[in-house]
Amino acid sequence: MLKQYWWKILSLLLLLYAVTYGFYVAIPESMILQTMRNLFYHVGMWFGMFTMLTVSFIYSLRYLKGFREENDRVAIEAVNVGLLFGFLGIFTGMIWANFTWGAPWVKDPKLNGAAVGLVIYLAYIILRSSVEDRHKRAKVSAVYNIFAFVLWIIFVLILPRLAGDSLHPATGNNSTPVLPMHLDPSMRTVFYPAMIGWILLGTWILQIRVRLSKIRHLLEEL
Amino acid sequence: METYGKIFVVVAVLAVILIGIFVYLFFIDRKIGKLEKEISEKESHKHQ
Repeated sequence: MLKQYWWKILSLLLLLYAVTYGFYVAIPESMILQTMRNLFYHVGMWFGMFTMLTVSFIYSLRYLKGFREENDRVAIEAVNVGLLFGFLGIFTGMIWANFTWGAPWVKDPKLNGAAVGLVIYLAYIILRSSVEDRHKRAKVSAVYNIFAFVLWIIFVLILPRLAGDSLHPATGNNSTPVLPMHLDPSMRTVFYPAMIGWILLGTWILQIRVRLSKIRHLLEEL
Repeated sequence: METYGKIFVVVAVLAVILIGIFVYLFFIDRKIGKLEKEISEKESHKHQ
């Protein structure tokens, strides 16, 4: 299925829909005015990152089951793409925050959690580059990756909700209804397709990276 | 829609950029496909 092209075209169509209709769809009145449309794009980065980290987690588990190197390759490349999305999420968030909260970086559990989450995965990259032996590297980093995924979920998805004073919607006392489930119905018609589009785009980039990595590996063996 | 004031010009630019990036990705994808084919041909030569 991944070898076919239809899902790549679907990704383009969904994102085209998101960047066009996303500017015309009716949005509820709120203090953040038109910037609410950022939800279709900024949040997509986090959906993309989370998907990539989940893929990486699964492939690290798979690696530990049979120690097959190809599983390790997917794990590292998925983290690479996940970090790309993560940094884009942070930077786009800073642009948005500058308007909504008056500064690019404010004291907020969700922001701090996201920053810690990025550091956890940067440490994964550093850990990999510090082990010379490639089998040892794959094993050590697979084990770390499993912890990293759990920590990321705690820092980004759980702790900010428990903190209770987050500026982000639907966390703690802030009950602004902007979590997907309580999202305005008209916005949902763009939000979900957009999220799928971003996830598919991430999957495509991941596929390209994995294939390149495999070619590099084969060339070393030739 | 009057409040948006010519937003469609921006939307058109975004759409073109998006299509451009996807076409670019598509060509990278195809190049990798060719490399994969070359390598598998070399591999099969080696085993003959």
